[in-house]
Amino acid sequence: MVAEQAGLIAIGAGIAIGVSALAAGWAESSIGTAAIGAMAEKESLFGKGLILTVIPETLVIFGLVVAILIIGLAG
Amino acid sequence: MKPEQMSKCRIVAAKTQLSCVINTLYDLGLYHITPHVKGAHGLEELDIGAPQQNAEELSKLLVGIRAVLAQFPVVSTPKKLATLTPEAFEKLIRTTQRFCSDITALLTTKNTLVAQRDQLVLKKEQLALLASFKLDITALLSSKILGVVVGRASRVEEAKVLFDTEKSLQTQWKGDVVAVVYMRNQEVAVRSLLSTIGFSAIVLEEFVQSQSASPQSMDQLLRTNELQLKKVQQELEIVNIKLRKMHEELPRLAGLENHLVDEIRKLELPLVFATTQSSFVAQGWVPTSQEQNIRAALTHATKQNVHIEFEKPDHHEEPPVKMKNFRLAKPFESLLELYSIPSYSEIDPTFMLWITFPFFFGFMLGDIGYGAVLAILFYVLRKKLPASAKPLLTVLLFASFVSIAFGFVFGEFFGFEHLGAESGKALCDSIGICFHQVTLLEHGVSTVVYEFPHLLSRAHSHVNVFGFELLTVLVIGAIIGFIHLNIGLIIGTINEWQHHGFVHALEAKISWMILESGAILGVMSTLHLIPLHYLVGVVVAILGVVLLVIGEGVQGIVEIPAILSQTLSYMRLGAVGLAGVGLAVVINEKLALPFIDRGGIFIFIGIIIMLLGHLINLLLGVIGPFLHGVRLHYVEFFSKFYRGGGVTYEPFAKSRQSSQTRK
Repeated sequence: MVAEQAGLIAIGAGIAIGVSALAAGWAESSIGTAAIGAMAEKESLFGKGLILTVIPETLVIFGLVVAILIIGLAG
Repeated sequence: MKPEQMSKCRIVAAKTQLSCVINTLYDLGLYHITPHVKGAHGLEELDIGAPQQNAEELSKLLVGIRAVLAQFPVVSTPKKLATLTPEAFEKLIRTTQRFCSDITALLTTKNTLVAQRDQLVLKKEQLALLASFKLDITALLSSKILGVVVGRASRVEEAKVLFDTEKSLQTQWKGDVVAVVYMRNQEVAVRSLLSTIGFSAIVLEEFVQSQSASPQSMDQLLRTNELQLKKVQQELEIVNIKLRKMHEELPRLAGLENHLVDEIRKLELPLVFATTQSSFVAQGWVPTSQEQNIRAALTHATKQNVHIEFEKPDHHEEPPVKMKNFRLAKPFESLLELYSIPSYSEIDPTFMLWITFPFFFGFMLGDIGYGAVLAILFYVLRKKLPASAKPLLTVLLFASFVSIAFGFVFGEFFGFEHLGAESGKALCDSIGICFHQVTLLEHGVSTVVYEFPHLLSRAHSHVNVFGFELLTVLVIGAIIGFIHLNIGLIIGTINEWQHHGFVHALEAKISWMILESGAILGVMSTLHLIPLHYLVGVVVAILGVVLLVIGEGVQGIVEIPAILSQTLSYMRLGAVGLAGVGLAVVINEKLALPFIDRGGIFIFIGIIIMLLGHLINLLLGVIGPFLHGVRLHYVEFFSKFYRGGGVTYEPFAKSRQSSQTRK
């Protein structure tokens, strides 16, 4: 029974990080495409493009924090 | 903390002083020119100037030089030009013009000769081939009854069978080359037959007709060809020797190219000046501290025939921005250039970046081993890469030192937090470095290990926050975020105060801090940490919101949740580090150790896994902390005060462009 609960907790944590990573990847793909397009026009936009591209990275960070919380909650 | 102070500088002089003024400005390298626009405020009537007289000629020469240099892809290091008198320069221009046309002519001759030589070599091969057939081809070609074709067949076997059945044809083979002798009246049939075997003919008539009216034997043809070839080769040799001699001149030519680029810029500078019939007006910006130098240099050069005035910038004007930071913080300006440089009137946050960026990077990476490897890597790259990459690498070098420091805080070395029982004991016995001995309990199995000394264990240390067990690093991250954002708000307050007065600063920036204190008071009194009614906090928070609405309108309300998410966003300081630690632990303990424990050849495999794994983790360890560190500044921190959008201060001076960078 204990093992079962531990397994469910692990699955919960996995979903938290996995889905948020997918979401971030999805968001970054379209931003990245646009950023590359803009850079092709004007190379000096590299810095801004890079920063805009990693903005959705926050999603994964929150996902990771939530995953850690879930594991922590279970003790 | 602010960019260098600028003054508007207006120079008025007679056109006779034009080149003198321009040369002085060029040598000073301090004058950021504002191009004159016809109809611009104050000088509506004035036209823009025309380039000085030599400009066109020199531009043409520059094009010529570049055409010559483009022919020699091996980049020669440009030789610096000695200072020249105007007469000597004039003479140099003439000789260079001649040199350029000479070398271009030689190159054309060379190309023609090479083409001729190649053709002759081809012809020689073909003649040798024809001579090897036992046929008098020259006689056959002039014959009225018999015809001959020679050429390559692509399907040899097929062709041989075909020719065997055609008894009327005489064939001779040399490899895949065939000579076919046929009756003239069968010509059409022969051609169609040949087309079926993928036949490509060697044009014979060319060899015979090109010589002379009388048909010559093969030997004669070969001999003439040989002679021609020798002649062409000799000519080519002579041309090559001449070219090689000229080749020595190329570094000087490249040097002249650089010189000309600047010379032409000087000559064309009047295009951005306002001019009248006989005088000109130049407008631009100079650092206020340099006013006296500029005045002295110009009056001296023009023998006091110049009028110079300096003015403080108006409110509506945007002077160019020259960031002013002490030596250690200077490289961090590159992080701002990557984003947008500060506008003239706001606080330059480079100093803050100098403190916080390496701190964030180090906090996220925090490993003695990784930090040391990166420090060496960035140090080497800094020596090897061109100067433009240097500031950023200096920043990263700085950051890797801080990573090492945090490595000691967290007690981590390539992801290891402790040594195994045997190696720890061996280290203690042999060198006398004894680590603290602890017993780990994992999955019911207890192991004795020697722990590295540390102040805080990233992966294991927890704190209790409102009843939640949270990893300490995450909490520290959020606290750092709270402090960092409020420093941003304070800088924002100073900016607003200076531009729009205290009331606006109170409404737009201080209101946020009031809101925050209200929220904190409320939470703390609810948790009975302070003896206050929670409504006090609520009232303070509402006061903050009201001020915010007055200052920033509805947009302010929309952004209220952002302050919370932005603070939480700083948890990444801990989270990115944890991800790195997690990966390192997996590499060490789950992937490599099982192999190493088996001994023998498996130790070798284990080491390879470790090397590869740590290489990947190190790569992620550079990209992750760098991007997240930079992002926390750009997105969270800067949104509290930074406007950016400054114009870079680019004084008219010696250009850095040189042939070395040309590829």
